Amino acid sequence: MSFDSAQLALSLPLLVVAAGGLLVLLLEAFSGTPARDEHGGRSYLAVAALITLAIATYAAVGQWAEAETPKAIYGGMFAVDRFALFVDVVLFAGAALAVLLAGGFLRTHRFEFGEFYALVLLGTAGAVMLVHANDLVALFIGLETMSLAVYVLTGSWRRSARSSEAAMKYFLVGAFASALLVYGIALVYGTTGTTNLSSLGGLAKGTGGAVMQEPLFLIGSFLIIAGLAFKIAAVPFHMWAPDAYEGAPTPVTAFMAAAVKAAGFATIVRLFTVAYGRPSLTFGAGGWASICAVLAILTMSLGNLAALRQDNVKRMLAWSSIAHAGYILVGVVAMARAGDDARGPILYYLLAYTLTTAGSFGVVAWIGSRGDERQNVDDWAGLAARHPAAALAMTVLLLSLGGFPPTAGFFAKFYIFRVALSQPGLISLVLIAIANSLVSVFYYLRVVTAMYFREAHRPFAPVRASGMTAGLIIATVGTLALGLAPGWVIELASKATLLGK
Amino acid sequence: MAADYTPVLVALLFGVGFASLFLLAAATLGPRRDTAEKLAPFECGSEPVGSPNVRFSVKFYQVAILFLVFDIEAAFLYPWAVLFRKLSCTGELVGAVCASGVSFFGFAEMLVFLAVLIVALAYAWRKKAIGWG
Repeated sequence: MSFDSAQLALSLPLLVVAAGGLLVLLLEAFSGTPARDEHGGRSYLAVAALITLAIATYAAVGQWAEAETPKAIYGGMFAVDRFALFVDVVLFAGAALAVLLAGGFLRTHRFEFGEFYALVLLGTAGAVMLVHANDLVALFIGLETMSLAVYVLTGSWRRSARSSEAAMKYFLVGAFASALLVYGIALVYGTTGTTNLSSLGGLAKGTGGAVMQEPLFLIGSFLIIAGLAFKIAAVPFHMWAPDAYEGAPTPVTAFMAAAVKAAGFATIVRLFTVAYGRPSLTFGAGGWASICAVLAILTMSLGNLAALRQDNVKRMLAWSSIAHAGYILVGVVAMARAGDDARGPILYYLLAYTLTTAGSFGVVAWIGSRGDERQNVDDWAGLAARHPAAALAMTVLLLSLGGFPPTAGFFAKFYIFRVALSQPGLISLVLIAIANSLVSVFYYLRVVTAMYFREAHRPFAPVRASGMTAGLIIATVGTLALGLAPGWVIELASKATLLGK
Repeated sequence: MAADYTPVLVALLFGVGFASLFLLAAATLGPRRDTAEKLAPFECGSEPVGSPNVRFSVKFYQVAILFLVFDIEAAFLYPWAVLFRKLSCTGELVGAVCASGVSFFGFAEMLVFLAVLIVALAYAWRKKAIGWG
């Protein structure tokens, strides 16, 4: 066997993030114990992590032109295509926002956890692996690498009982989901003799298509879909999400809601497009699209209805992120027939959603002070009078989550609904999604009215950290910019090639 | 194809059959005369000391996790060692002979794997996870 260094160059984004994660881990361990007042908020670690992410982004962007014709490297296990590179950049943006938010948060709440930055990078490396995986085994390894890092991050706030509880729930449910996934992979391998997504796709087209009707193959595929549905917290596989999102340290919640979900959706898109093809995987009349349609309706409706009832802003945003998974699933359903045309809108949605949701969790992280997280809606009353900039940022972010123009959230929904409407028979699905968006406006605006039209009943003591301020500005301006000039991003996203069969 | 698994089935049946046979025989044929000694928990022949529900120091778990990591590392070295010839040969092996020349591919691959684990070891060492003090 010989070695081809071109393959290393093509997997540079992954290698940079992984190596950066290990270096930051060593830097943390060998740089001595922090002084009392800079617990966990050692800024050189954050700077090292940001530099790593910047280099990785540069590497990913540099491959964009070359990746117009998709390549499969490492024995067909690792796909290098524009789709993966686009999601890479989204992941790096989500990770960078989490890193920016973390410094001030860790310092305010005094938890000694310098490993935070290393774990974010290693988790991102897992997510990148997942996004590029063109083989079920590579997919599983990426998913596990990402998940293990996020479990630890979730439980890293050791003085908070909620954080430990969240980590335990997330870990147990996540391990269960991984078991389902790997069992599904075993069944698919048992019936087809391959774990490669492209080969699976080839089987569907060729004479081997009959294998896709085999009960064992169908059960295996169901298990894989269920395992991935756990990771993106689609109803009815969502039970862990509100508790895990609420209990986790807020920058981690931002990372989970943004990057982990984006990676999960990218995997679903790749798996369905490459391995299962257009509805060739026949579960009933509509193929896998009908499963996704049911998941989409349940996820949107339950997510929004539950979010309506929350008084806790962080938990409300957790439910709202479940609802958003439902909207993206509408795009996945549209992908069954629209094919490549639906990929651009999904990518745009992932980018818009990552910026918006990381930003909104960022404001939640910003408002709390030590021993008082101020998560209740009442605690936000009167914020606009004292901190107008923060209230404005939160308003923009919430309006984007609710889908108001001229924010990124509006165009994200618009593009998804437009591509779904271009396909016959999806009108009812889109109508349900629009009704859901209307419902969601109530709970988003509840926070806005509290901030602007109610009196503060106790003083605010928000986090003061330049990193966090920068993160919030980037997320808010990004959300607005994507909404004001959506054209070039959707243009770019619609040129995203995907390694085929 | 299902016929290939008949030996497995036979082995399973034998295993389950013999185990149940002996248990059943012991339960029905053996006389049962319980004494305090016999009913005491068996601890390798020693006298039981205290309740088993004691708290273990978290250090045991640290050692267990570290052991697991390096045990798995060793487990990965075996298949690598078996394939080492093939991985080091630039072309195809003919029998066990590599005519086309050797490369450092297989060696470097394992070095990368070990390097990642050494990072973990260095981290664990700096965090005082090694040692009992």
